[in-house]
Amino acid sequence: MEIDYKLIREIECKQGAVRAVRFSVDGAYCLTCGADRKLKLWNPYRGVCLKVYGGHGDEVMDASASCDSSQIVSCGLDKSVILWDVATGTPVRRLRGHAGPINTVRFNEESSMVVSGSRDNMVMLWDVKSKALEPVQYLNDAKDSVSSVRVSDHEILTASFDGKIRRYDIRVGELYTDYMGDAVTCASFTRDGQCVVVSCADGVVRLIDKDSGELLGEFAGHVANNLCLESSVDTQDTRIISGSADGKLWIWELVSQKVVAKLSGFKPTKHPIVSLSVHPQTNCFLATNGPNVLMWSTASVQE
Amino acid sequence: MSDSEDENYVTFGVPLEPIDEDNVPRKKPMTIEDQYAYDAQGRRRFHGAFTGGFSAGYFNTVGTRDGWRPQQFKSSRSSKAENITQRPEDFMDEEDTSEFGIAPTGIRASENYVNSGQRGTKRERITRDNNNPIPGTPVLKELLKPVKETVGIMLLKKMGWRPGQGVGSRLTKKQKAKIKRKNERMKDMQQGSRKPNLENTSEDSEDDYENVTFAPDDYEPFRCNPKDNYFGIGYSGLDRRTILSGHVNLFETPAFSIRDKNKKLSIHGQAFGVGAFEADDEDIYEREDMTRYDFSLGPERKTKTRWSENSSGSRNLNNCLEGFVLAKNKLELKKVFPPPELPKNFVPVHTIRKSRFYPPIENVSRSTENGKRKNLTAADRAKILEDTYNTKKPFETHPNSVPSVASNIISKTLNLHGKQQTEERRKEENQRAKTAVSWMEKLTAQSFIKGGTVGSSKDSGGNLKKLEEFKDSSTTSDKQSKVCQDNVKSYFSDPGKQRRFEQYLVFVKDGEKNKLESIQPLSMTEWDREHERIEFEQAIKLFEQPTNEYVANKFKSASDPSRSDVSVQSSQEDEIKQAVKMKMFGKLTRERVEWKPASIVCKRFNIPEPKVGCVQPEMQKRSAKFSIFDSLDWNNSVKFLRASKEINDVNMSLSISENTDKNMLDNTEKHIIDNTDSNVKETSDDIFFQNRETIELVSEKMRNFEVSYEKVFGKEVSETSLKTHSSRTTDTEIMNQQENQKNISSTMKASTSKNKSEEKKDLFKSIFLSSSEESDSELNESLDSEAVKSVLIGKVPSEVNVNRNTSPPRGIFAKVDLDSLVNNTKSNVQLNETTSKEKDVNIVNSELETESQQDNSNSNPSKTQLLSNMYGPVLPSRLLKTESKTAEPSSSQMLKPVFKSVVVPKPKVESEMCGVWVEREKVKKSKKEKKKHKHKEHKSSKHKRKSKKEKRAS
Repeated sequence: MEIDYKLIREIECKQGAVRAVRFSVDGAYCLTCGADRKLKLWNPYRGVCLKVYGGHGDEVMDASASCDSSQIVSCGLDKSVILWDVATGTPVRRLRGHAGPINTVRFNEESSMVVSGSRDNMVMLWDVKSKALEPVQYLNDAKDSVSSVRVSDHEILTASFDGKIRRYDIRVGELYTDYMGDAVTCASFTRDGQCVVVSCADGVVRLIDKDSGELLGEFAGHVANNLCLESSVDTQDTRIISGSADGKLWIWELVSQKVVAKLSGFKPTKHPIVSLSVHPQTNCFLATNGPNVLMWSTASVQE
Repeated sequence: MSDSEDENYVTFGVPLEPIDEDNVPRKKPMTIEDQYAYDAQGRRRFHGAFTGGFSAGYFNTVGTRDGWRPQQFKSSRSSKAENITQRPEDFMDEEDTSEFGIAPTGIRASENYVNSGQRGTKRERITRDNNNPIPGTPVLKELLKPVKETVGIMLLKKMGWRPGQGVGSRLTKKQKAKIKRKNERMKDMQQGSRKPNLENTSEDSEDDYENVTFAPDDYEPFRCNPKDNYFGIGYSGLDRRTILSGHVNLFETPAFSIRDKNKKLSIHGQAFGVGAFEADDEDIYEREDMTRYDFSLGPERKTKTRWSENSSGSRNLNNCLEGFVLAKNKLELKKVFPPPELPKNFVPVHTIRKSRFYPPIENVSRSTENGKRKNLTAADRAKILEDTYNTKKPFETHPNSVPSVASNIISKTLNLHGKQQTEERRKEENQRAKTAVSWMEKLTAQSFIKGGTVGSSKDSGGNLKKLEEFKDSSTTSDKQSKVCQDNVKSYFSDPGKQRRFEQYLVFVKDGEKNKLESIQPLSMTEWDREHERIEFEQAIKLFEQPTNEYVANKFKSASDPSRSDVSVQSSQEDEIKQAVKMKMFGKLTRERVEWKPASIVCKRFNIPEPKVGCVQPEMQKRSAKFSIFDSLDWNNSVKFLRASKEINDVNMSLSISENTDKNMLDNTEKHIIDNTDSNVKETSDDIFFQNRETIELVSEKMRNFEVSYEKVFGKEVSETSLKTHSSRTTDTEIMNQQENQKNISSTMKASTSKNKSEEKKDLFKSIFLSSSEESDSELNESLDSEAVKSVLIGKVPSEVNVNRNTSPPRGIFAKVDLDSLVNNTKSNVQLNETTSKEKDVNIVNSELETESQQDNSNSNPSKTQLLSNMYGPVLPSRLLKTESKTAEPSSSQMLKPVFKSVVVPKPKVESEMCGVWVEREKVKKSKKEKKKHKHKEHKSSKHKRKSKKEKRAS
């Protein structure tokens, strides 16, 4: 099976450096978090900006759309998490509680909770169903900034610069801490939920078995350059995707651990690819590259 | 007929059409609600209330079917509500405001401009003067209208008064002049002498017209200006205006006037320059200005200005404001009482305690000595804040290397500056230290051992060098005392106090204790002196002990696994790192911790809450208090391990440490285990007592445990256990024997070192608990709690407490020779232990236990044989029997003289407690054995069965 990735579109977001790009839950839209304190909603397939959400006091760092696409939650350097109403573009709630800039934010599957990870080493769980402005729980196990947060149906996966990924299993009521040796910039579940893809600051993407904590694979070659690179798997769980400081999107074969492709934009850039997002159903990738968002998709259908 | 009738009548007009009976147009009566009012244009009128009609809209209501619509207030972000004020016009129709309405609107001259002369006439009649070239009223007349006059003036005018005239009957000229003069005088009185007298100019005219009368002069009203400011009366502020901006009044009263033979010469206006009659003035062009005044304090600068001179002159005259008179009788002043004077030697002292269970923090209170605040060191502040003060000691950087002389010196200098921790403080800190990190570091620091040791020549040499470096007025005579003082040095952070203490040591040596007063500063109060003396005495007591050994053994290298947690942790971390390097992720890098999600989180994730109702063990662990005796306990057990390498001591200490370990475990376990296990716990509790008695250590931790135990399991549990206790005794007795055997043997071996520890303990007690009633009360409290407990369990409180107050176990050991007992009970293991020096202690213990267990089977309880002449706890009957056979062995006699302190007889009710101890031990052991020694499975299982049986019994 040979997959050919084709660059489909390059969107100039016009909102400064794009800190993060996120597909919506159904993959129809995407969100870009800009350094100009704006959050933009796009139709990436047509490259049309649908709405601009302004209200953050500083750079927007991350965003997540709710399952029914009615709400957006975003976080930023202004230490606040903002819950937006998509249609009206007004902030529904502004959650302040973190003592530091917030790196990452996620809805849970039902979009009833928001999990935010901050540079104050804290992960906070917010109940957005209620009107409470206080977090319902703190996860203060991390000894350094929390770089990424992922939420599955019963788990919360946090990655921290203290070199550890922590998986809070709500069902079991246990915390599994795995030491990765170096600062972890991103940790995400695979699609099947059995493994964890961990981006380390030492320039290695590791595939960790979720249950045992064993190392299943290492993916290296890309340039980390102390950037907070994100990584993911593709839709079929067959490839590992990671951003890189050389402005290319690196893709490895999951099993053979070999580099399959290095995707770049139309023109060479000096900007690194930091944030990326994978379409929930198809092999369509979005990645930020400086002020732009690049979009690739599989050209040929896999046999 | 009809025709004839027709003919007879003449009809005029057209007859009406016959009425159709069926559809008679019934005229509906006009209802009220239908009576609408319309205006001339056919529009619906409002209601016409002002113009006579009444129609109030729908059903004679206004507006809606529902009648009057209340005024609505609606305000939103987009459209803000305006402030609505109702006017009468709102309730009027247009007609009302029209020309002939009730409130006609139109442009009219306001009242002021209406010709007042024509007031009263309905409407001005337009008089047309057709004679003028311009028809109509003259324009000028229209424009210039008289101002409004008051009614009074109008009336006066009607009476013949004219403006400019006075009121009253006509006067002759003379009369007029007279009145005028009178008026002048009055005016003068009113306005002071500011205005110069106006000369009556009419005087010079001839008195010709006697008959001619004049209207009186108009009365010129003088006006008192209403006060419109808050200044004092008569005050006028300085004018801020500069000269050019100011308004120069040219028509002012003359600045200067003279009178020259009935003619007044006056100089009017203001001239520039210096007048002929004026003194030379500096500032002729200037007015008084605020900027020319000095507002700052300082030596008074005379500003020579007219104003100041004037004011000062007028002030000095009568010393009061213008227009004021000095009061004849003065107001009474309020009497102010001065605050009481403090005695000269008063020193505000406040002793700070953490709680009443802690001794007052001495150094803190000292820091405010002489009423003056001293510079606090970081250590002092840490102490105040109850913080774990982590001074980085120089030798800590090289924990494994023997400290050099230089590092010693450095540490010494630091010490002199009060930066190094004192020995005492360290102990206090240990109890507070929540993380054992710093403590462990200290433990690993070998330099402590070296620094305090007298015995080793190398170290004493090092100390000598130190002393040479930091000699203090040669208070030391021999090496021993030098070393001793070297240790002493670290006792007081206050250098002055330290010096005094050193001096005091010398005095003590010479037997002149009273000299201390002579070296104490005069500023110290009596109480301070006394306190210091007591302090010194206690400190000396501590030093008369073989401190070197004590200190040396207090700290040890981290080899004991039981308390090298930190090193283990660090090594684990290293291991993890190593594992990561080797890419061995998995078990090594994984850590599993209990974590409790909040209930709301579970709800939102649609997950049932895990582990509902479980107690969080970590929380309770944290709540356990640490005390100084913790460390004491630990160190003592460790100390024996270290002090001498003899195997006996090793055995002993290990057994002790094991016991203490178990107790620690129990402490934490207790909270988790259910109440159903209370029986087992009860036994362990008893073990606790037993353990204490054998080990002879009063530990705060244990006391805490007791309290917490009572709290957790309450009265009833202990009561139930009491019930079961009797049933258990048979079982336990056997165990007692075995356990006693072991304990006693171990304690015997360790008796010498234990003795020392005992004394030290007393010393610590005396230091930390002395001179404060609170500590006494605390003791009492604990005694009370123990008394309650013992009542519940069935023991005499005194027996529980005995070991705390005095040192009764010494009594036991003095009398009882247990070594021989052990030998006689054929427990060869003991002998083996003594001979084989490197045996695993666990194995030894287990073997011992099993052996004794075997012994138990053939033992028959025959008590009270030796009870009459024995002190201390009752020995297991079997043992007693065997003991009776054996004579007092020589070993016990050898041991006896070691005890220094008084031997206190002890009541003899110990067997039960012993038994419980055994029980606990057994349970533990059996678990251990199960793991380690599988070949003894059958025996351990036997134990287990037994314990199970006990559980059932409870």
